Amino acid sequence: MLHVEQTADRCIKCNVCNTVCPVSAVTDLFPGPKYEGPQGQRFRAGIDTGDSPDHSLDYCSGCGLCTQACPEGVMVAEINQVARERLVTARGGLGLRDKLISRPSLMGRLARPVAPLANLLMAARPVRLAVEKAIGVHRAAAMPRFSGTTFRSWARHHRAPSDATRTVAYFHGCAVQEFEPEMGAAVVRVLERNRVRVTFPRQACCGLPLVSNGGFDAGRAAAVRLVGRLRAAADDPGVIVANSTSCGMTLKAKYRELLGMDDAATRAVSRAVYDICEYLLELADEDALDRSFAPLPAKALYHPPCQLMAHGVGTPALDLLAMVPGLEVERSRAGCCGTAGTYGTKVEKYQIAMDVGASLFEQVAQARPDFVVCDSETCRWHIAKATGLPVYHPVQVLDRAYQV
Amino acid sequence: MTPLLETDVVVAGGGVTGVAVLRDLALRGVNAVLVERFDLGTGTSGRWHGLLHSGARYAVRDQESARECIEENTVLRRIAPHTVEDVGGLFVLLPGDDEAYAGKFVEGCQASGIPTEELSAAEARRREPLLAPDVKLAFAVPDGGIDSWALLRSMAADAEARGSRVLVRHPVVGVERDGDRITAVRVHDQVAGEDRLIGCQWVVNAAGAWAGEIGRMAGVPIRMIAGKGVMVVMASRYVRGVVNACRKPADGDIIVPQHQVAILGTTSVQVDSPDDIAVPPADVDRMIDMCAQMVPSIASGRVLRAFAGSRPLYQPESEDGGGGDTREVSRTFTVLDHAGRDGLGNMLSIVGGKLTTCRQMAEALVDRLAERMGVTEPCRTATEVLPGADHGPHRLAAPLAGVERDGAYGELICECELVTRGQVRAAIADGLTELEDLRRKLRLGYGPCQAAFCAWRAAGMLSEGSGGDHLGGLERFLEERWRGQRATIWGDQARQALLNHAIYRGIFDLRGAGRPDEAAAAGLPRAEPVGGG
Amino acid sequence: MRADVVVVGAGPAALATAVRLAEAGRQVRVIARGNGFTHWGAGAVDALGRLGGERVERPLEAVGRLPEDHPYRLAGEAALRDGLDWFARFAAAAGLAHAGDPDRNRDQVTALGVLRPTCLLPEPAAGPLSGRVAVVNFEGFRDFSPALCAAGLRGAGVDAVPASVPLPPWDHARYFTAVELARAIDDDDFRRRLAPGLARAAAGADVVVVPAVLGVRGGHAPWADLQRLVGTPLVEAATAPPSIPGLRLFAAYRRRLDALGVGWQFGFPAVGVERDGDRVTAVRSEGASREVVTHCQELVLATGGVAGHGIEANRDGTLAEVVAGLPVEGFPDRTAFLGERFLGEHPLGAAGVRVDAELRPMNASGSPVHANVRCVGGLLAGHDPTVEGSREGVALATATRTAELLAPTPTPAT
Repeated sequence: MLHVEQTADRCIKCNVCNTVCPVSAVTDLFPGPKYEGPQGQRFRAGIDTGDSPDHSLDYCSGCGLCTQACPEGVMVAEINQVARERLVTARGGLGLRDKLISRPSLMGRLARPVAPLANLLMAARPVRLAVEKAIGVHRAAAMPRFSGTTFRSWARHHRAPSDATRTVAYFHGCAVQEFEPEMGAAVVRVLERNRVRVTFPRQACCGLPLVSNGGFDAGRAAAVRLVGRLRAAADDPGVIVANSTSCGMTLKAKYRELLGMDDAATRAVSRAVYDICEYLLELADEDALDRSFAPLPAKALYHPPCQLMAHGVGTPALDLLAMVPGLEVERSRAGCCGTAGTYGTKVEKYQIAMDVGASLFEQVAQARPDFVVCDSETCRWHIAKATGLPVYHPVQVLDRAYQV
Repeated sequence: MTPLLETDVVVAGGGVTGVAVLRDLALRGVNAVLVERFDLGTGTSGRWHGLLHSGARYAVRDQESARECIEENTVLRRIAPHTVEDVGGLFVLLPGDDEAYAGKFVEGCQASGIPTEELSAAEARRREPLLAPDVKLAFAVPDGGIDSWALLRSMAADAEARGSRVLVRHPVVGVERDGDRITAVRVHDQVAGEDRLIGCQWVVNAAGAWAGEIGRMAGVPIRMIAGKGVMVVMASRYVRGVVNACRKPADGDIIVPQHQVAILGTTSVQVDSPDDIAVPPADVDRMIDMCAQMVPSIASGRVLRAFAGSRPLYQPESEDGGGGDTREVSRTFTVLDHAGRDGLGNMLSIVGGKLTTCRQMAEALVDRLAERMGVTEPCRTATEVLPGADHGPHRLAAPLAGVERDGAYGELICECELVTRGQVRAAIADGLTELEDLRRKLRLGYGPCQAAFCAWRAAGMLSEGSGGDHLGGLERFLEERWRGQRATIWGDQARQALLNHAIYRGIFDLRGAGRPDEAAAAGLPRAEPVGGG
Repeated sequence: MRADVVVVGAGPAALATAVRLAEAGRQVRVIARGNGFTHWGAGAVDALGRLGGERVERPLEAVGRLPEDHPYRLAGEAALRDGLDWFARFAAAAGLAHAGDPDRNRDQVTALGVLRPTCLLPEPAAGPLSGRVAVVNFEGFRDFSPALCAAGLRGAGVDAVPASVPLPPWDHARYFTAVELARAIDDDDFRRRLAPGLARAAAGADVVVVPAVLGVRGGHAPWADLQRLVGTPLVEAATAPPSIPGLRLFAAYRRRLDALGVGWQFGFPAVGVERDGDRVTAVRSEGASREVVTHCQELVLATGGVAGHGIEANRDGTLAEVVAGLPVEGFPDRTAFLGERFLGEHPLGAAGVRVDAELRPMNASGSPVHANVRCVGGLLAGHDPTVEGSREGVALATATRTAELLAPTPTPAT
């Protein structure tokens, strides 16, 4: 049994997790985190007895709100993740769809040479219908736009300024590399504005989509590869910043918790990872943050992704955005926007994802902000599609406020 | 007093031995009535660790017992697979253990017919991921887990279907003798509150650890030693199969998985009476510390409860008493024919033995009795499968799969043990009226939360069906569950206990009537001995 | 991370303390491992229900009879009165008006039909039980038995009869708990479809008792609307966790904390402190891969005693306060933790940190361990909130006292 499974022991059945689960709130296909997690765990106990664990487990989105809310330290979502892996293994591994959507960098690479065409096709209803029928990605699910150029090609040509007093390594992840290189450029600009030199260690996909879909073996291979590539940066410069809160969370905790990777290299890399807003706020605490933001008179609604909360640092973006003059920020009351990574793209889960996000979308409709701010890329794409508003990473807002 | 019943044989004692005797008699066409003071399986049969012996534990010192065990191990798997968890067992060698013992162990197993397989440390840990990292090697044996209540229910159902009767809550209070024969057994009907006579031709004393008391009532001396053992129940399973320490049997050398929990065992101390089921807290610590040598995470794990039971050890008059440590007393069984031994012509006693060999014990006794009775039907209990056998061996995840199959998520009354509204309704329709009965039959309230929710939900369901003081019944149930828990509450379980207190006393404002033995005060028959877990 | 005041905990004491401190102008950050007793309680404000086992009629008056080291004596009766008053205004402003009089206890209906003593009740639970009372369950809801509740009420002299009402078709027919049912009742259309059946079940009754599931997102509006549609007063009975009234209150607290700009670091426990002399300079909490250090001027521990996971009860009978290692009296061995009867009293429930009149934890000699640490709520020694029925009152009184001490002029809720 991995450590997370043993935390099931701590459950006192108090139902707090059931009060925060966004999925059981909108569908009775999912009997709630208490049932699936610590309660079901006593009947699984890591033993394959020939009865599969309950298939309703598959509806857990992995948002992790249950783990956060539990006052006893039961890692409910992680228990579900481990059980899902056994379910998937019992089924013979990931299906075609899950194999594809778990490899964003592969998909990005394939589409890159024909990015404009790929984007056109993916926006075309008949194509989406065909894709839905063929592999089970919902026709209306938000999809990122393929980029014709990669972030790393931008980084290769980027001249770093020479006035740096610190250095960080940048884990940009697949989304910035393949879909949103301009987002990565904003991260670099904001760091350099604060006299931080940015290095770009060779890297790869963190493997989170594989892990969250239950493909632990492939996920572990990706993890080992990435840890190997980031190992040196963990010592020097000793800080690795990540703008994707889900990839950052994966590096910080999920290799250890879900994959059982407890070696010195993994520990060193995990300890060195900072969410970009977490890092910038630490600079501010040390009075080393350039606060000369130009006024941005606008109204924003900030949604902290569930995976950001899993970092345990609160919501640093709110403190940073508060430094921008004229920017009015309302905080989302929703715990989860619904997409939970690849979960909301699946044909059988799309409606659940939309129902989970409904209260957030309603709050947006009532607040009428000029834009929405969210640290996680899959959340951004999902919220943008549902609300029709632009959705930015907090760093993009800071970058704008520095530029003006 | 006119007899309540007339029968051929009265069997005293509702443990596995008594019920196995009843079944064996039924299969040979003999009319019999079983009488039991509390409920089936409330003696040693309900207070043990649940090990389906391979016999390996006796391989070095007591090969006769070892051979009996491995034979019956096979029989039980055949006739009662639904009561068995077919999970295997390991004997692990830890640093500091005597390697020479391991050699004797293997030899003893071979001599007794117990198949063993040597495993490297890595192989052992693949089988049992939570084994201590310093385990040196292990031997795999065909140990298993057995659910004694399921076995009792099956055997009793089989016997009753063939015309036998089972009278629970009918303690034996005396016998009527005419010269050298017993003519009737006097029992006290706890529900009606009066004594009854059961006329009979023969009496079987299968009262296990209490056999001496039946003997006393019949006027024959039977020296029983109560060998108390303490067991600790962990809130979750920890191990896939049984894990034993490969050394001379001692305290805390076995971990037995039982459904969703693991049972740590055990001690062995002679006590004055088998009704002494108090658990010394120091024994709880000892079990945890010793068993944590084999599975370290037990040391920081959550304990559900602890309980004690007495082994029914028979000490023939000619031998010395075993003294404090009862491990030296033989574990094999003895049939006592009181005709030759004591001049009592029509009583036989069956004493000693292990739960694993209960069928064989019954066979030996009934063979002797049949010979005396002139019954020529041979024993068929080893080949006739028990009702329920078609379900196949118990699988841990079966209840989870069952809830999915029936879509019963919204029907759960006891969430820890996955007991549904339908199951509770059926039990109530079957005549169960007390929460304690629901607990014994359905495992309601057995889980880690110790009835935080299911007790009052079930009390609600009981009240839908009938009037009566269901709140009082709820309070009594909670106090029964509480007995003996104080030795095992700390950490997680302390938080659970205080949450439960905040629910029952804080929200529901239940404060109880203030008397410790409320069942007695309410005049209700006791279903279980007082004071255990 | 920097904060002015860190409050550790997320239960009744933590929430009230954080809001009152923020209203008084301190910059507050809340660190909590998870949710607390707000989610588990009866959804009422208990001030003092029982003293020496006897029911208390006048809680404020009874404070004088409490031992010197009781949190009410330390915080002062004025703090309790002010705390209750503040709460009533805060809750009303959030759409959760409460009924009740700090000078006189009242009865609260519970799911088992027992009437528990309390001080303030949210309106949906506060209606009087007079005349004929219909006790009605929503079919399929497992956490309420009308027969049991009605039997209990009859035992208390109430003319109660059980009934049940089928739920209209909805998307959670296969599996639901109080939470899903309450959310359904938030919906106008669902209420309109539910009301006729409830009215039929209530026919001939003067009051209807139902389990406390009448909406969770709209404050008391769903209850008020349903009551209007049914045409008979509806009274919510307290059920076991999850507490729907507690969730309503928690949501109100969260909105207020957000509006006040209070930082919310949730889901990870505080595990230690940094010190400089007799001052705590920072709180260390678990993070995903590193401890998170939050520097602070003041620290308030609202971690809730053993039940709240603020104190660990060890196998050997010792107790340990989990954040700052504050002195806590243990027991000779663990069998002393708990009483002989489950429904009796348990010493562990009253275990806590001893504090002075300024709510600062004391060492053995009676002087404060730290100059800038306070303890509030269930963490305090000298009381058992379950046995004496004082949880929310102690939370409010000590929150009020703390806000006074850390900000000389606390402002009332607007």
